[in-house]
Amino acid sequence: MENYKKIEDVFNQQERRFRAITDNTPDMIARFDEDCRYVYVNKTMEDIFGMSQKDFFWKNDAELGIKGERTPLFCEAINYVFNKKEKKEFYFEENIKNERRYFYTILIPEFFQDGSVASALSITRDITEIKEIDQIKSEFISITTHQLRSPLSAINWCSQALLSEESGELGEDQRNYLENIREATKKLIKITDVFLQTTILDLEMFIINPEEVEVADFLKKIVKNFKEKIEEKKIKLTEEYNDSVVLENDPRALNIIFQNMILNAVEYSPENGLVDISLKKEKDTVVFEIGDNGCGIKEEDKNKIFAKFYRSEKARSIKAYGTGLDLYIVNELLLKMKGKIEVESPNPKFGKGCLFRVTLPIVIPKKSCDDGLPESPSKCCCD
Amino acid sequence: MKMNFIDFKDILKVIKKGFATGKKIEIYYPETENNPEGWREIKLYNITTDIPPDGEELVVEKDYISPGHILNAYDVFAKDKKLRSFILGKIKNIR
Repeated sequence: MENYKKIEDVFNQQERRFRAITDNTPDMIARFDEDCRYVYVNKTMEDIFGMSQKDFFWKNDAELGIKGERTPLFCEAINYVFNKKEKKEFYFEENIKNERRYFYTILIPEFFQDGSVASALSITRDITEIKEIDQIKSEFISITTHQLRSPLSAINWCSQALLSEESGELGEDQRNYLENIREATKKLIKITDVFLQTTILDLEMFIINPEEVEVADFLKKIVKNFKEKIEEKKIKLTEEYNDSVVLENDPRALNIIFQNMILNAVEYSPENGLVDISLKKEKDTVVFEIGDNGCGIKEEDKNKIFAKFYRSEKARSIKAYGTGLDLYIVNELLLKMKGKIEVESPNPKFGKGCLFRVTLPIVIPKKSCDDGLPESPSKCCCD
Repeated sequence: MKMNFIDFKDILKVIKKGFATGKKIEIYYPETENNPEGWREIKLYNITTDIPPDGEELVVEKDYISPGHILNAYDVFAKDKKLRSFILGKIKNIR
C-alpha cells in the first residue's frame, strides 16, 4: 500500500511538472488519439479557442465546431504519426479573430511499452511576426534593387552609346575609361538582378508561364553566349544532345537555370579545363547534366551549396566575390516546377570537379503554375 | 542631309503621345547591325531599363527615364515579327 502511494505521488508530481511547463508556454500543445480526438490540451489552447479542457476531451474538431484549414492537415499528420511512428512537421495559415496568422506544428508519437503509438503530441507555434518581418525584409530588398537597377542600366547604355562614337570621336583614354565604366556597371547589374530574382522567389511572386520549348535548341543558344568566356579560358567543351524533346515550361525560368549552371561550371573550371554538357530524355523527364574538372565540392558542403548566400571555401579561393545565390535560385525554380537538382563530387568521369544533374518534368504539373514572374517580351537584341 | 538632333525631352513627349494614341511613329536612328542609318517606322511596345527579358518596364512621366534606357518596338517594314530595342539616347529625331 505504501509503495503504491509512493508511485502515485511520483506520478502526480510528474504530471504537475508537465502541466507547469505546458500551461505556461505560449505554444499550443495538444494530445490526440488515433481518431484525431483531443485527449489533452494546454491552457493556451483553452484561451485561444475559448473552451475548457473538459470541452475538448474526447472530441474531434468537427464535433467541437472548429473549422478551418488546420483540420485536414492535422488529421493527415496524425494518421502519418500513428502509421509511420515518426514525427511530422508542417506549416499552416488560419484566420484567428479576423486576422490572418501563420503557424508551425510538430507532431510527435508517444509510445506504449510494446512500441505501438499511444498518442500524438502536437506543439504549434505562432510564427506570424517572424513571417511578417521576413516579408518586410524581402519587400525592402525588392524596392531597393528596382531603384538600383534603373540608373545602373542607364549608365550601361549611355556608356555604350558614347562608345559607339555617335556623339563624337573618342580618344584612347576616353575609350578605356568608358569600357571600364561599362564592365563595372555590367557586374553591378548582374548582382542586382540576382538579388531581384531571389526576392521575387522569396515573395512567392513567381509565375510559371509554360510554353512549348524545344529544349536542345534552347540550350544550344544559351551555350553560345558563353563561347567567348570558354575560349578565353581555353576550356574544352563537349555537348551531347541525345534526344529532341519539347518541354512545356517557362522559357525565362529555364534560361535562368541553364545560364546559372553553365556559368558555374565555366567560372570554377581551371584554364584548359573540361566541361561536359548533355541532355537526354528519361521517361517523362528531361535530364540535363553538366560536369567539370574544377575544384569540386567537399562532402560537408554538398547540402549547403543550395542555401542562400552560401559560398564554400573552395569557391571563395577561386573567385573572391560572388553572391552565393545562383544555385539557390536554380534550386528554388526547380522546386516550383517539380524538378530537382543533384550534385556528385568528384565528377565520376574526370575523378575531380563536379557533376550537376538537373531533372525537369516534360510537362509541369498543373498545381505549380499558380504564381510567377512578371510578363516581359521574349528575348531580342539591340537592332 | 545634315540631321538636326532634337532635345531628349521632346523625344519623350512624342513617344508618350505615341503610346497614348497607339499610332505608329518614325525615329531617326544610327546604323545598326541589320539596318542603315535613317528613318524607321515603328510600332511602340514599351520602355524598359534594359534589353528584354532583362530589366523592368518604365512609364513616361511616372518613372525617371534616361537616354540610357531602352525603347522596345516593332519595325513596321521588317520581315520578321521580332521586337527590336533602341537606346533612347541614340534616337536623333522623331516624328
